[in-house]
Amino acid sequence: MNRDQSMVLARLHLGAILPLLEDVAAYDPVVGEAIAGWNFALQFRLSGGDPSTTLVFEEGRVTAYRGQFKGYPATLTFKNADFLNDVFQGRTKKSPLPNLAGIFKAKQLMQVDSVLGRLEHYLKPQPETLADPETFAFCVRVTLYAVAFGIKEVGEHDPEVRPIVLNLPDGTVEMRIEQGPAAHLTIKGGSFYPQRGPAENPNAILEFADLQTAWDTFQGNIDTFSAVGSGRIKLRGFIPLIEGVNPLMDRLAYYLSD
Amino acid sequence: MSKAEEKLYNFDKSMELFEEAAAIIPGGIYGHFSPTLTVPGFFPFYTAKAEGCRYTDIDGNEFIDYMCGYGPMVLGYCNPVVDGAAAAQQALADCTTHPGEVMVKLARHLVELIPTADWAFFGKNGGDMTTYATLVARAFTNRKKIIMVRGHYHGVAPWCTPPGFGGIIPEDHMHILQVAWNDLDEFEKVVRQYRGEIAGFIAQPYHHINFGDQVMPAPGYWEGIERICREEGIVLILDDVRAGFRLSMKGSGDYFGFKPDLSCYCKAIANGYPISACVGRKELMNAASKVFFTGSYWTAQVPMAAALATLQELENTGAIEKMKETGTLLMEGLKELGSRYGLEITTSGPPAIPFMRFTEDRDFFWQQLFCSEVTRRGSFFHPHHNWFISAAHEKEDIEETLNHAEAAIKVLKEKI
Repeated sequence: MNRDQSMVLARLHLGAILPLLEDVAAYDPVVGEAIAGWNFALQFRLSGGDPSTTLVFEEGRVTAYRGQFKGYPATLTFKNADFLNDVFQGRTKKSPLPNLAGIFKAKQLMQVDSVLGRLEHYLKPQPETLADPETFAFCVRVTLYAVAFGIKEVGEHDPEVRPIVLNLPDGTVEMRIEQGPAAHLTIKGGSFYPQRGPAENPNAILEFADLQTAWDTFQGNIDTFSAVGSGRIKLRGFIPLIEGVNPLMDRLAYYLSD
Repeated sequence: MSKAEEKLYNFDKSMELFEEAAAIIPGGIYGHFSPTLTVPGFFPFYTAKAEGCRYTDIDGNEFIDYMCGYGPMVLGYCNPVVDGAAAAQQALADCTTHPGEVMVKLARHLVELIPTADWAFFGKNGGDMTTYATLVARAFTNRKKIIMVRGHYHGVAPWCTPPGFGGIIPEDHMHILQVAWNDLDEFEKVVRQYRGEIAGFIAQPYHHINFGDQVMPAPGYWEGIERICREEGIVLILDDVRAGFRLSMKGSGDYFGFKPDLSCYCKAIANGYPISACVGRKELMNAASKVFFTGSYWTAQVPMAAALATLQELENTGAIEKMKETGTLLMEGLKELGSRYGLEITTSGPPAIPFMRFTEDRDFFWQQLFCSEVTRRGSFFHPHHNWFISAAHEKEDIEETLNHAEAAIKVLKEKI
């Protein structure tokens, strides 16, 4: 992975993966218990400040904010993108250095690794995790959100896909699972605005017939063209929008395959 | 309830065969025939037989065909004149160690038919010829860059396939410049910016894109393009693959009043037999001969005999005028239907290569529903791609189709 790609991966970790702790905290009792008494803001930032994401823990809930955060939160600064990626992928035992506010939260910070580990539990689940239908449904839902958030990071920052993005029409793509969760992505002038949930007025809809089809698609275990032909994936509306987003999804899978 | 409303097709066998195909063929059905470009479940996937302007799918459903095989069928499927000429040639020779006399006859015919043609070269697909034309332009000018119009389709070679498709790398487009359709100012600006570096400008005769209205050349557009190309030594390449021999037997350059240096033909040239052609001005003939471009089947004689017969039959039967009249009947009928049911319909493109959409339906949601409902009643309407009219379509076929369309528009009215 070259320097540009390492930076994109770092952005994915902070911009697409870390915010999913909002969902995991609301679903997972292990995380819920761990953060029950936490009432503080914790910023993850690359040296220099971009990218950065701040998690605000409050009353057992987590809210993620991308970019600059007002105030003086506890902060973990990563010296470079490679190091950030190694930490998020569990490849190093070294930790980022906290700021002074972070030192005052040393007890909580010692638990952050295990809290973040629950993200991997759902995003890269073991077969036994997927065996439980409810957990499987949750894994699909957070992965759907990761895809929506991840497309933004790849689309806006990966130089390899910029020629594609520059040709993308403006509009909103809704990605949804029949009788299941949805996410949507608004594209405007080459920038991406992902959201959880259905869109009010989507210009195009990408619909998976069921959770399994969505999961198989996200894992790269399905020929999506065949799945569209067989009706397991339905495309509606202004399909060029979906065609434009599709290579970004492929590129996202490349980054997250490791 | 009319007869058209009662009969709704199902596509069970198409879907079943597709499942089998998907296990052993990438994408099941690939390229522009891919079901991903229609609405799977409401459209046929596989053809069993075809005759005239109709075909039957493997479920036994019969369709009046408004795609004509995406253009190649122009005189009707199984046209006896064309098939007869092909069969006669087949009985003599087809793909042999040497080309046949028919190759020279066909070249002679094209040179006499098309005003800007002094020579002809043959391949198999439209994309062969557009790529060949860019090579000729480069060989002629000793320059590298090609200007193309944003959104125009010239085949599947890497230079003209948009980024994002599998295997395409940024370097494939290193010498490709893009301009907007009908924007002479932008064209001039790009030419100024890369003065002395541009080998050719390639464009379709009018803007026939998917997911949008077809846009005719603005007054003075082609005149301006031709002038700038002449002044700057840029080879003007007409990609007439889709429109050629449907608007004019002399080619779309003649139809729109400009003189391309190179013109590429395929689709309607042989009523479905595999052949394409590039014709050009004599000044480019030496450069053309220096381009090494060939294929195993490129001198096959059966398609050449079919092409000769097709071109002669198109001329002899007044097919161009007939397609124009039939297409007009269809488009006017659809507009009238829309007006009757309170849904304004925009039609675009020449009548022989028409397209329609609901004016309010910017994102094609209504279009997808409407075309699905028409198709499962027996008239194949592609929701996103321009349609094709053939000389085999008769007034009665259009009337039957308008019945299908009326039933479909009633369903649309209920659902929107």
